Amino acid sequence: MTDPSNPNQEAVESNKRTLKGMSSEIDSVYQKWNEIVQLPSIGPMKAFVKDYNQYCSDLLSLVKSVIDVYSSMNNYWMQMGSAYTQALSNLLKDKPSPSGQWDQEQLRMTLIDAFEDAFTSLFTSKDFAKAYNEVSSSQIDMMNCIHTIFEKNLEVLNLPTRSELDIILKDITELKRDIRDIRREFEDAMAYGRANNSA
Amino acid sequence: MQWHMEERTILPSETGARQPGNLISGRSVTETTSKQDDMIRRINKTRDILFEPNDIAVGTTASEILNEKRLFKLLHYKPVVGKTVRTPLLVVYALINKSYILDLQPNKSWIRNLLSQGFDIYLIDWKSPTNSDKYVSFDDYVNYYMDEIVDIVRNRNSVEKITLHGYCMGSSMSVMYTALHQEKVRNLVTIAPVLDTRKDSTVIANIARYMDIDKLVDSIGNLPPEKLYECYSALKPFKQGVNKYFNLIENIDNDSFVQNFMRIEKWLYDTPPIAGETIRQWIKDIYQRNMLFNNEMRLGGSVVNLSKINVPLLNIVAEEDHLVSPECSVPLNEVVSSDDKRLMRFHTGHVGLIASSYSQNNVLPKVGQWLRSRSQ
Repeated sequence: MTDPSNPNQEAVESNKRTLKGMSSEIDSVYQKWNEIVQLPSIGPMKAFVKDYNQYCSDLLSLVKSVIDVYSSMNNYWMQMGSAYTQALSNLLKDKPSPSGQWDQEQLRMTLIDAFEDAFTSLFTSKDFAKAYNEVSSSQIDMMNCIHTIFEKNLEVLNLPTRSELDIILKDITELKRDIRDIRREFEDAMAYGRANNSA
Repeated sequence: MQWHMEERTILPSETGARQPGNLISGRSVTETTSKQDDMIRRINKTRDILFEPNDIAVGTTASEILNEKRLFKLLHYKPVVGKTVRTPLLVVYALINKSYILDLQPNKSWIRNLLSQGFDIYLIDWKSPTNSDKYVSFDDYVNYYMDEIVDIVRNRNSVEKITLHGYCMGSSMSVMYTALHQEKVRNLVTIAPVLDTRKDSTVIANIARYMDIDKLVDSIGNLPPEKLYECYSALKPFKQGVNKYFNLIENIDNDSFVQNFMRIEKWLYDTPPIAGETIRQWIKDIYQRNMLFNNEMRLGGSVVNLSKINVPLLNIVAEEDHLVSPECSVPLNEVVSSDDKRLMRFHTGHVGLIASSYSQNNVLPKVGQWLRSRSQ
């Protein structure tokens, strides 16, 4: 029985290599472009193109993050595909003899058992957990790239960014905790005072 | 939206009937066609019910809201028989899904059953955190909200100590609370606590071990429900995920079955987000570093030391739990210092343990008996 969590590893690796190659290719094209549009390092021209260069760089990061998502999704779907193949193979093992016949219920249960075994063994494997989290992580990276681009626009509009709001939220939560502790200490002191007075 | 399959006469050739002759596996074409018609009717009815469900009544046991803050509601259930036990019982629900699973329907209600045994029941119904609550941590939940609630219940009932009763993540929170505020707890009852995660063999534990939770929380903030739905879909995906719909089609004319199905389905997909810092601690400290079990977890400035717990403990686990492995929950009895501790194991699943006929007949009478003998 093949392990569904270890699909054609070679294909996965080769895919990753191709995508990595694509990513570094984009990097080198961008580098060359930067050299071509190189302007004097001081003076007004540098200041004028600063934003433009930053936008280009952010867009480049976004493209690279999309490639990473694609690469991690590839690995994920290859594992799923392999589990599917495993399920079919489990099913073929249980097929009835040529003379035998299945009723609907039997067929359904055999199908479900075959798929359940294959996919549950995939979902409880270390490789799947890694692949799943790689997909999540690359999606978050992509989202972060989009955030970075949008935050720049918020700065242009003179609106608070999410990062700035986060700082305020964190401060508020900490203030709440401080107030809670002070209130508790105050109540304890009051209770102590009452107890002493009554004594 | 209404969906209907086209109804038409099914020809014998389409049913796989062998020609010549009118027999399919010894059955007549008329019999097979009527079975197929019936199946089409069931599928249509199922679709109608799933697309346009009527109001699904859950959490119907009468209660009043005693206190409500930003992140919790404290419910007090109205007694259904004369109160026979003075020690109040505070139920701590998990931060995952909604608390009405404990009162899903009258004949399968965990709460109602305990009420009918004469217990005075309070429930912490956690509210959904918003984006502004992303920095709320277990310290806030346990040392602030739970402590405040416990004090409210103690004052209202004029007792020094209460019985704390948690379910799933709520059990882990009850364990944390008891380790830090034992002077207010008379008995601790836990159902499927997440504790020794090194021994947890579930899909959830597997995914949690490799999760980059720092990146997720730093980028997204609160854990969105969709992340939990992704995990649910990997739990027994065919035996439960697919097969339940076949069972529904088969039993679509059984009203009671359909109602049960819809209630559970509603609960499964009624998931609030989880506060960012809280889920960070849950995944990193509990699942990845096993700090709660190793007495290394910190809440605020205090270390949660489970060996300090010496109150009577009842730990209930389900042998077929696929959300929290029994092996992960059972070690609680080994790490506490209580002289009076009991482990109850039942042959059912995570939800079956609290919301089934099985739990009404097999679990709750034993729980009630244990509690009664240790309450005032």
